[in-house]
Formats: sequence, C-alpha cells, structure tokens
Amino acid sequence: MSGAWTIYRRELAGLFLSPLAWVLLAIALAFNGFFFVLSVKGFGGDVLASMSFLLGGSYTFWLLVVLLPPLVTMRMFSEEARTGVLEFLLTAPVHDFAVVLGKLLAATTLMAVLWSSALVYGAAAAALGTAPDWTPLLSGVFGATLVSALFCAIGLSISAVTNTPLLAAFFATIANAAILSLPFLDALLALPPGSPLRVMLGHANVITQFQASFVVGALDTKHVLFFLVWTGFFSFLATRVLEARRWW
Amino acid sequence: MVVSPQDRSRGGTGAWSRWALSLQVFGVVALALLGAVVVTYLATLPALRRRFDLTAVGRNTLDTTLAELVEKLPEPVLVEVFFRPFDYPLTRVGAEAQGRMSELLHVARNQFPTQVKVREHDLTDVAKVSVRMKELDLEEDNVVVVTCGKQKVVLRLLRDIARVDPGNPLVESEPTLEAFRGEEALGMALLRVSIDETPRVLFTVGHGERDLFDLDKPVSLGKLHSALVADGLRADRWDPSASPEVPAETRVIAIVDPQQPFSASEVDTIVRFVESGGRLLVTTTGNERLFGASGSPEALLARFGIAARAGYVAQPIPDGFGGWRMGIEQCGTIVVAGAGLDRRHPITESLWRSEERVGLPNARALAPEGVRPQNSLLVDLLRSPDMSWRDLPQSGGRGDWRFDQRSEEGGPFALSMALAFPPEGLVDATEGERRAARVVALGAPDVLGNDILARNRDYVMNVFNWLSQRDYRLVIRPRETDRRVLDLANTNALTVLNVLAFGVLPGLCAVLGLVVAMSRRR
Repeated sequence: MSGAWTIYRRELAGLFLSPLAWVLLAIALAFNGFFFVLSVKGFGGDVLASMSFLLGGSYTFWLLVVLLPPLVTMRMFSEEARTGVLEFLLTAPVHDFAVVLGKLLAATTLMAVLWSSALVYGAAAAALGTAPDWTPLLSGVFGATLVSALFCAIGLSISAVTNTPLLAAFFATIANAAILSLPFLDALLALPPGSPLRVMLGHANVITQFQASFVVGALDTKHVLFFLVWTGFFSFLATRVLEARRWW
Repeated sequence: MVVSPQDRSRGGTGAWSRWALSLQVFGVVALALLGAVVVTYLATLPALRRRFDLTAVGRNTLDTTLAELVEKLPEPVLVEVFFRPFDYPLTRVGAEAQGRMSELLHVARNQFPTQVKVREHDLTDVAKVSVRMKELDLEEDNVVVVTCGKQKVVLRLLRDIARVDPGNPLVESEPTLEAFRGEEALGMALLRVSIDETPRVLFTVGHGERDLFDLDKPVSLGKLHSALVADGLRADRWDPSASPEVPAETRVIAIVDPQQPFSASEVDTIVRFVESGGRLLVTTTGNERLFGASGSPEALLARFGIAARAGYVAQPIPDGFGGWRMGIEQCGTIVVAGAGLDRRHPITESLWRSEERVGLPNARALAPEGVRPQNSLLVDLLRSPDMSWRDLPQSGGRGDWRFDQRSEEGGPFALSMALAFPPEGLVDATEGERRAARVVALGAPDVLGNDILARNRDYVMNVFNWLSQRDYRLVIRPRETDRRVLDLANTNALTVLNVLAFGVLPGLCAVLGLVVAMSRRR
C-alpha cells in the first residue's frame, strides 16, 4: 500500500496547488460560516445547538455534502483519462486499488479541512468565554469526514467511468442526491411498517445514520461501520471500473 | 482480469471476451455489494454493536435507575408516541416538551435496541392513527403509550411528563416548561407494565350499589370499570349475600354508595378480610335514612376509627366581582387543590406536584373517631378549603347552602382519608409495609360516577393503584441539559464570529487560491 501513500501525496499536492480547491473551500467556508452565524443568532447564542446545526443537523450541511465531493473528485480520473496521464498511472507498478485509495484519501482530506472549520468556530466561542463540548464536536467532524468519504468514493467511481469531468460531476451529484432521497421512497410507495423494503430503506438512510450518533455526540459502531463499509464498496467499484478501462 | 498475451494471440480481445470479462466484473461487484449489505446488517445486531456517549453530561445515556429497569424488563416494551402540535399559547412549550420526550425515547431505543421499540405515529394520517388510538382506548392525543404484553400505561405529555407554568397573558408572559419529568414517568410506566399481574378488584352488589357496567347513567360506574381494566386491573362484582366468603385472589373490595344495609356477618367478613391484609374502598351513602345506621358504610368505617359527619360540605363560590356567593347548588361541589392535597401520600403526592384539582360534589366530612387498629396510620388525603362549612340538612332534608355560624361547623374538613395498618399475626416486621392492610374512605361517591370521572381520573386511579399495591415510587434524576450560551446582548461575540466565519476563513482561502493561481502562471 506504499503506492497509495505516494498517490495520496501527489493528489493532495495537485489539489492544494490548484486554484480550484481553494476557490471551492472559500465558497464552502463562506456558505458554512454564514449559516453558522445565522444559527448562533437563531439559537440565542447556544453554542452546542449551533455546532450540531453546522455538522449534520441542517439541510445546508447535506447540500454541501451532495455538491462538493463531485466537484473535488470529478477530475481525478476523467481529466487524467482525457489527457492520457491515466495510461501512465495504470502501467505504473501500483495496484489499482492503491490508486483509488490514494485519490479517495486526498479528496477526503480536502473535505476534512472544510469540516475542521467547526473547530475554529469552537475555539472562537471558547475565546469568547463559552467553550463547546469538545469531544462531541470532534466526533461531529469525524462523522462529517466519514460521510464525505462515502460521497467522494461515489464521485470517484463515476469519474472513473467517463472522460468528461463535468459529466462526472453532474452524474455524481445526481447519484448523491438519489442516495440521500432513498428513505423518501418509503413514504412515496406507502410501504407498511415492518415490510422488508421499508426496513432496507431504513438501513440505507444516510441522514439518520449520521444524525443518530455523530450529531448528538455519540459514537456508534453501527454507524461508523455503515460509512466505512459503503465507502469501501464504492472504492472497490471504482477499482473495478478502472481495471475495466484496460480491456474495454 | 488483465488480458494475457496468450488470450490476445487466441483473439481474446474480441467482443465475446470483453462481454465475458464484464460479466465476471459484474459478478464480483454483486458479491461485494452482498458483502457490504451483510456487514451493514451484522453491525446493527445488538451483540456486535457498541455505542459510546461522548457528551460531558451523558446526554446519550439513560439514568442508571432507568437503565436497570429497562434491563430487567421481562419482554420488550413498545412505546407509541402520539404527538400533535399544541394550539397557541402552548405551541412553543408543547414543542419543547415533545422534543425532550422524543430525545429521551431515542436515547432509550439506541441504548437498548432489543428491549425498547419506539413507534412515532404521524397524526396527520388521521385514518390510520384513529384506528390505532381506538385499539389502545385513547381519547386524547399528545400521549405516550407504553405497552408490554397485555399491560399498558398511558402517559399524558402535559401532565405526567412535563409541567407547564401557564404564564400570564395580561402581562404577555408566555407559558414555560416548569419541570420535565419524562425519565421518571417513563420509569414508572416501565415498572408498572413489567409486573405481570392483574390485581382483582371486587365491587359489592346486592345493597343498591352503583352499577359497575352501566355506561349511560351519570352516577353509574361503567367508565370507572373501563379505566380500571385499561390500567391492568380486573374489576368484577361480588354479592356477599350469595357467596359469603371473599373470593380467592381478591386484592381490593370496593363499596360504592349502598342504599341498603349490610348484614352483620357481611360486615364481619369484610372487616376480617381487611384485618388479614386486605384492601378496602368505602364511600359514604347518599341515602339519608341509611346514613350512619347499623350495616351502613359509615358503621363499617367506624370499625376502623373513621367517622362520617352528617350533612354535606359546602364552600362559597366567587361571584366574579371580588365577592362570594352562597345559597346556590354549586356551593355543594368542593374543589380541592394545593394545600388541600396531602403532599406526601402516594395517592395525592403526584396530584399536588402537578397542581391538579379534585372536584367532589355532595361530599360528606370525615374525621378520626373511636378506636383505630394498632400501629395504624391515618392520613387526610383531601381537605376542603378553610372557608368551607358543613351544611346541615334543613327540615326538607337538604341543606340551604348557606353558612349558619350558630348551628353549622366551619372547615376545613377531611373528605377522603387513607388508613394503613399491619395485619393481624404478622410475624416478619419487614413485611409490614408490603402486606399492610389499607382502607380508603371517600365522602363523595359521585367522584367515581360516569359523569365526572374524567375530571378526577388521576385521583381515582391513584386510589385503586395504592389499594392494589401498585403505588410504585421511583426517583429518577432528570437528564441534564447542557446549555452553553454566548452572551450575544452584552458582548461583541456575534461580530467576532461574523468576521471570522464569513470574512477571515473564506478570505484566507481566496487569497491562497490567488497566490497559487499567480505562481502557476509564472
């Protein structure tokens, strides 16, 4: 897996040495910051409620989660395939999964930087005399990073399919939105309580999985594993798609 | 899955080979998908699942007492939530109470996923919900129903779970949540549903008592019967003249407003039942000719050192202009609240705490008199207000509802009393509290009638629960709410956060992006 580390460093440098990442971060931070201040006002200065709002308790968080990972990952394979760099990468003595893993970690790191802004807000609140509860705040950032990893993995899988970055971003956004909307099928199909499909949809509810633990300050192995397993699955899918590029 | 040179030499890069390889990839991906589903499912199994509460105040963990109760449940409980938004002015405070109860139930469900199932009903789906409410015999919403096997307990949001200060609309002070007792209410409910027993309550018949099954007449006991059954008790009739011995497994005997006297042997049977650790509810009679006579309920009460006084207790009614009115029928309905409720007794403690009122029409005064059983404890459960008086019958039989200081006695008076004493022949003193004989005397039989039972339901149910030994006491510390609030009014906190969140952090990223763009251009 040393190849993954090399790819990770290369991708991270590529990300942070391109203006796109900084522009995305600036926009996302401004968006996040605006809603954070709004929530502080709305909750009458309640720091804990505002932090929960920022990290998973609001639609704005999920909007960022749906939109940002596709923009970060769209170029990772499709752009390289278009410019021909991917050929070199695939012929390099690195396993395909290491390539996917390195890129996934790099994209997730960028998202983690974004969510870490909550720690800066927390530090500011502490400096103003009201320290947040740090452990749940850290778990919130960890959870947000895990969710982002899942959506980055989806973005990578789709980026591996196409040679057009914009198309990759578009389809990844659609896929992310579809995954978040899965639980609404339950109401749409008027499924009776206890039906297998309803139970399955309940288990596939990303928002509930996240809010039932990370947002309320708990760490639940069920939810951590959920995100790890599905991130792993989509990374595996990206690896297989990448591999298929050799012979298709 | 790389195509080897040998395959190429055999023409392996043809369409068929590609399709075959694609199928293999699909197969592998399908297997991976199955694996992911299996692992996701396994992670939900309670045996493999671990949950860690990271909050400073243990927001995601139940109180140890409550947790122990859940662990000891004989079978899983189903908690059904019927919440609907309250009308103004209770909208905000109601939502707060609903939110805290929902959070508590989620914590319970997450901590004990196999023991606690929570079902939140969507009250906008009227058709579906009304069917379920009918099944559960619910007449109101904003309740939480705890069910375990055949046992069921209904918790009302703004009475059992939360206490609301109504505020004052005249000074624009909104209602506030005075106390949230969700943990305690849930604990009590779990305790009650987990005990798999249906104590038997027998209502005497054969002496003109009120009908236990009639739901139509205002003074009959049909609604009381339904309430007792819904609360997990077995209520039935007993005719002492037909079967002189108290039936086996009887926990409580109730005598409600008899019109004919009991025979001496019947009275002796009942007294023996109580003295050997049985429980008895006796109301006074509304029959003036029977009142106080031999074989009357008053004579039975006298055997336990409780006397019922002639006449009916009355109180003046506010006239709406700051004065008081007497001489009207309404004076004969006593409203007991606050200091009139004993604040320590299990029957009235919860009523006192939640500032409930008990309304007693045509109530007779009770008082300790004569010889009481040894080591007995007699408590005034309900006391009439200080300005009440005992209205004596005039020549026509009824009182005039006016206080005559010369001939009538001024209040307060006991309207309901509870007596407890160790049964005869008790060997183990530590068993005393558990097996104590208990008697409740009630001076107003109408309290139990169909017409006003709903108003006094909590008091009546507490009486039967105490008599049938289901007066569980549980003290659970309310879960702490960790509020860390920035002083927005007196500091520049909001300005600082605004500058940092909306200016400094995004600005820093924009500057760095600019630097990167310029350096790449060079």
